[in-house]
Amino acid sequence: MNLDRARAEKLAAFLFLLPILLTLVVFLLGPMLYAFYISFHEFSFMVPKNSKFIFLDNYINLFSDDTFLTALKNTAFYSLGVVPVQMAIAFLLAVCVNSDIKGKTFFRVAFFLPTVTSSVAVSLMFMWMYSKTGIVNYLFSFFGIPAVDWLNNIHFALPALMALAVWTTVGNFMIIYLAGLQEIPKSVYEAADLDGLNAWQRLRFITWPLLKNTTYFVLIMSTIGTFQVFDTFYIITKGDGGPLDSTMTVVLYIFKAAFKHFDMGYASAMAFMLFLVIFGLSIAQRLFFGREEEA
Amino acid sequence: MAAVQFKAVTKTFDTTVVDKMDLQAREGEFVVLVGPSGCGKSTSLRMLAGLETVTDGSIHIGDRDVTALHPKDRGVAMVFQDYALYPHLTVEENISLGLKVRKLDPAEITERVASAAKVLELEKFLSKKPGQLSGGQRQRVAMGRAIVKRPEVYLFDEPLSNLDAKLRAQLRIEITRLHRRMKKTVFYVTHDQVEAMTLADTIAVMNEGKIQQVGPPMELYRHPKNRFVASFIGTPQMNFLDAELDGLTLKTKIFSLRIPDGLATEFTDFPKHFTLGCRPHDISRAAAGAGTAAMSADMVEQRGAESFLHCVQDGVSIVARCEPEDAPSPGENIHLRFNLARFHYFDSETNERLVAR
Amino acid sequence: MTRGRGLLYLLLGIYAALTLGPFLWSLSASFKTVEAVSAWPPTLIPRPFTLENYTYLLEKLPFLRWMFNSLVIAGIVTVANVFLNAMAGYALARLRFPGRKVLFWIIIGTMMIPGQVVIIPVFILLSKLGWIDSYAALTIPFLTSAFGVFMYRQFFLGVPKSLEEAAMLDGMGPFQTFFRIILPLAKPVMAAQAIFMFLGSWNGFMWPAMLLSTPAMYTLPVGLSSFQGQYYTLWNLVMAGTMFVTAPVVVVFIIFQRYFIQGVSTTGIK
Repeated sequence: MNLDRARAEKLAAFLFLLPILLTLVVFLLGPMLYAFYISFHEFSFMVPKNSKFIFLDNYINLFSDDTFLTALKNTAFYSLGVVPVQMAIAFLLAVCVNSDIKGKTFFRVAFFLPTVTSSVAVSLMFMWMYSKTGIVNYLFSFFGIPAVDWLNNIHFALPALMALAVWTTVGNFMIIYLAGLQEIPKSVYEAADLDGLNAWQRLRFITWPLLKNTTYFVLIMSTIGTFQVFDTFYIITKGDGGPLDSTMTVVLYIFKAAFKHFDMGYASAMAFMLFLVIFGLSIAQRLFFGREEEA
Repeated sequence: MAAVQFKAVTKTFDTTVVDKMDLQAREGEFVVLVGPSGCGKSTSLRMLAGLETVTDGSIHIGDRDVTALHPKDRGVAMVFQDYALYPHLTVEENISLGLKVRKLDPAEITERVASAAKVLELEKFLSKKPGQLSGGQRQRVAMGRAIVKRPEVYLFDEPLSNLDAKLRAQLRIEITRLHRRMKKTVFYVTHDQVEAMTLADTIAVMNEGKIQQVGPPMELYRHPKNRFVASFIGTPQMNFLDAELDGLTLKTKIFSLRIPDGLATEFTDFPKHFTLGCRPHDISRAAAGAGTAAMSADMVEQRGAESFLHCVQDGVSIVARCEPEDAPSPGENIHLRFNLARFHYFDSETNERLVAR
Repeated sequence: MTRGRGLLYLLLGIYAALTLGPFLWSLSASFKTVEAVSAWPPTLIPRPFTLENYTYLLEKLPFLRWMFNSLVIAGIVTVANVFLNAMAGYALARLRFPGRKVLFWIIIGTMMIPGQVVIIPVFILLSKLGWIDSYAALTIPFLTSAFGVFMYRQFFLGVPKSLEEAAMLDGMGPFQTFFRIILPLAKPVMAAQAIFMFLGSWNGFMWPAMLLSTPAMYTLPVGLSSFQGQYYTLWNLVMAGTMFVTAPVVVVFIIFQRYFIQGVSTTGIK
């Protein structure tokens, strides 16, 4: 049509997109390529020129590195434990909050509060509560459970951190489920009432299937979140993954390798392995959900 | 001089939506583009507004070729189907924004807004936001936004389709009044043929990207140029029957009529088989006799002042008008008389009108 | 029916106690003396009640300075994101230009990249630029966000096209249309995004922990975590410290929770 109008739109689009493109290229895409590059090197941070090309050695060495294998195992254990529990609680709470009750806003705010709280604050609060003389041991003593130094015990440190993770993130996923629930038209439930479905049947045959897309989204986000967890582990274990690597995760090990051992090539290789694992899991979950849809 | 002229205008997206459209409007004429959805009427209007490009041909307003002009430079104002009011601005700001953008003198803006608000009875609402208004009020704000621009041509894109029947009738009258007062050219798109009939000086019926017929409402009603126009204009829809001529006898599946000698010459060039059209208003109940059709009443559609009978016989369905007190009960056998003087004839192959009366 | 309802409230009440408990517990500790905080059995009500923990932190430690750093950084990041993301989101939703689809998928794709992959090169880059220990390091790389762009785009896709057409007939070009008509419509999204970005930056730990090394430049979370290392067992002091980070957020969240929850909702699916 009017050429000047089309040109004005292109100009506007260019200017509007410039900031995001610049920041993405300079601080994300460029660095990612560079990370890929250094993952094939024995990289020297001080004198990058002295870096030695060692091709896949960094990647190969990962598989004979006990710490890495432990970190991978811990991360998988952590993810497998946290994801289902947090999804189940989030779903349940969303259904409860969405029902016709008083004080909805209060419950929403209460459940969501941990999500908006600084990870450092949360970590410190839990370090105190988990300590030998902390409130957790006090409450457990009523059930005759002997006091444990949760975070310094190789058996309990990781599960304690998993409970912390569930506590902090459930609110977020609950809100996402809640949004999904509110998209379901009321008339569907009214029709179900006329069909004589009871509360459980409504949940089973209406709510759950209609929330499938939401569940898929939550599953992916939750999985990614557990594989990338860093703050709480870093703060609580002082970046160490202790005791005895019992809370060493892949991300924590990346940091240790990069900023304590200054072996940035190795750390980058590990970061890419993590990226691959997350990517692979996302694809696998997509395929799984896709197949179910056909059935 | 034509106020608006489409010259062989074509619009192609993936398919051709508007095909070599020619249309002229005199200055001050109220033109209604009417047709089923997807017929290209809205696209034509949007091309006139400059919201869509023209693939081929040209559009003229006054003596200017506006085909390549920016919408704001065409001297047109548009009322949208969803009104497109700016939700964050007050009624007054909505109406005046276009003038402010054009950097008109503030005193002039105030004057124009005040006069438009008076005409449209919007004075009380000037400081309200669109969200606080009813559908009819929003509609009037949208018109106000158009009026203050003092355009050469007003464009309306199905402006009443989101309103209830009562408001629609009321606003139809208001729009007619407004047009009489402004004396500006109007292009109005609707799919509602009643709206078209009541508003238009000239109706242009469109179908599948082509203009079917252009003319005053009653001309289209009385002399539809083809079967499409015949079926589109008028409610209930015209009845169509397969018919043939046997000498001077007009034969259909359900009745036969002798053509009066005085009319015989009109049928000289007719093909043997053709389509006969007859409006429900030209069919009435009658006593059994020569030339009537014996039918079974299937359903009675009560409209209050009049009734419409849906009748069937031998696989032929007919809708006929009758007085409410004459309405039969469903299943009753009745006789219908068809008014031969009001028949329309169409070629069964081309669907074009057979006799130019 | 009423029994089911009672069960519902019980369930919700228990979970609310679980989420709110730690906050109340910490808040109470921040008003306790050292003796009271380690008393056995523990008590919820601080007795004696003291403000000494707070005055100590304010007098002996640069908590105010850390708070100021956090505010400046989060402020810049928030304002920039609210506007820059809106512009990009609008371009991707509505403006016509070649390569729009490809660009959209590239931007969405970058959300898949975990921060850990790039933290090493970004650290190297920022060291070379001499930005370590500066506000620049924590603001400039974070002025925009693909997630924020996506959120705006979803919103702008739902704005009726006729509004832009009306603006065009009113004589506005794309810039005027965006700033005068479209952006004001996006107020709820802007509010949600402002809260998201502010909290993200205010609470952020990984990047500031990597990119800041002088205590005077610390943000609150980094400062707090370093301070905890020194005052390990003085939980009353540590909890007073956590309140510095938590309280502003809790207040902001409670005031704006409606927008926040709306924000999460609009980005969740679709």
